[in-house]
Amino acid sequence: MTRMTCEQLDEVSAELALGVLSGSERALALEHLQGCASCRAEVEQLASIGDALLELVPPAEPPLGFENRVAALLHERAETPVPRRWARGMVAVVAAACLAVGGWTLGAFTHGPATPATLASSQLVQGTTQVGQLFVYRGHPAWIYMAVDTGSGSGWVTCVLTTKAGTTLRLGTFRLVNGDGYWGAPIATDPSQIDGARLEWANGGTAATAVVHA
Amino acid sequence: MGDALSDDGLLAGLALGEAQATAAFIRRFQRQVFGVALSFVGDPVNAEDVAQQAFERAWRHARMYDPRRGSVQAWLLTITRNCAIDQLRSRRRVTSESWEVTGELESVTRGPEDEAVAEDSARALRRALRDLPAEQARALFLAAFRGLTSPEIAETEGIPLGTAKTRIRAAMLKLRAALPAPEVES
Repeated sequence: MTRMTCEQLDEVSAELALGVLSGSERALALEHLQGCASCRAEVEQLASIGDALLELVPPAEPPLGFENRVAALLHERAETPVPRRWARGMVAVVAAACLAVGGWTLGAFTHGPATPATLASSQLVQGTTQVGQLFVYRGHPAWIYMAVDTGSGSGWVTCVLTTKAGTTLRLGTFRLVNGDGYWGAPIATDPSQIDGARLEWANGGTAATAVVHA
Repeated sequence: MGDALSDDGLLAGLALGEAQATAAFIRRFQRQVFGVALSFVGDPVNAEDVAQQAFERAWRHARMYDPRRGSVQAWLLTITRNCAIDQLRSRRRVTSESWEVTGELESVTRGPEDEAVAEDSARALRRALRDLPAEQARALFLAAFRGLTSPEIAETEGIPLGTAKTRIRAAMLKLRAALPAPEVES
C-alpha cells in the first residue's frame, strides 16, 4: 500500500464518514487526513450528514425493563472504579479508536491535540506488503492505535511492543475478523524508546510487524 | 424531576452519576437508541446488547461531548452506530441474504406524522433521500442504516465493488447538495 492521494481519499470519503470503511483503507485515509485540512473538512461535512441520517431512523420500543437494566449496569460500573491512570488514557484512546466513525469522533481527532508533531505513524507490514497503519501519540498520556487488514484470518492477536533496550511489552489483545480490525491502548513506556511492534496470533504466528520511529 | 432538565443538563447529571438524571437520560433517549441499534443489527436481543453498550459508552465519555458539534441525541446515536458496527464486525455476517430495503427505506423517508413540525434540515434530508435514484438509495441505506461495507454491498447487490463505492458516494454528495450549508464552527 502506498500513501493515499486527495483523489483517492475523495473516492472513500463517504464510506469513511459513514463508519463503514474497512481496516486497510481506513488506515490510509486517516494517515492522509493528518496532513490535509481540505480533505478533513470534506470528510467532516459528509460525516455530519451521516450523523443526521441516524436521527431519521424511527424510534423503537425497547424490551420491557430495559431502562432498569441499563441503570443497574451503570450503577454496577460506577461501583468498580477504573484506575485513574487508565481512565485518563481511555479518553485519548477512545478519541483515537473511534476516529473513523462519524463526525463526532472524527472531530475528536481533527480538532484534538494530536498533530503530526506529536502523532507518528508507521506501516504495519507482512513481509514487504503493507497491511495496516500504526499510530503512536507522544502526549501525556501516550497511546497507540492501529488499523489492520491482512486479508484473511480470524481470531485474537496480541500487540507486542519492542524497545531500543531490547525489552518486550505485551500491550493487549484484540480481535481480527477476516484479517480486519482496529484497536488502541494507552502505553506506560516512553514512546521514544519504542522501536517496533508486532501482532501475534494466539498460536504464536505473526500477523503483522512495524518498525516504529516515535 | 430529571425529566424537566435539558438534554445537556441530563448528560451532565449522567456524567456525575446522579441517579435521577441517569434514569431520565435513559428514559428520554432509549427509544431512539434502540431504534438505531435494531436498524443495524436486526434482532431485539443483539439490539438490546448494543443499546446497553451505547449508554455505557455515553456515561463513560460524557465529558467528551461538545455542544458546538451537535445535539446530545446526535452524539448518542453516533455512539450507538459505532457500538453496532463493532458488534457486526465481531460476528460473521451473512451477506448472501437478500436485504429487504424498500419498506424500511420508506419508514426513514416518510418521517413522523407531524412532519410539519420537523426541523427544516430533517425535512430536506428526507426529501433528498426520496429523490435519490433507487440503486443509490439502496446502497446508501445498506451502508448508513445497516453498517455494510462496500465489499459487502457489492456482494449483496451482485454488483462490482467500484459500482458499490460510486453509488454510496454519489448518494452522499446528492444529500449534501440538497441540504442547507452548515454553519462553520471555528
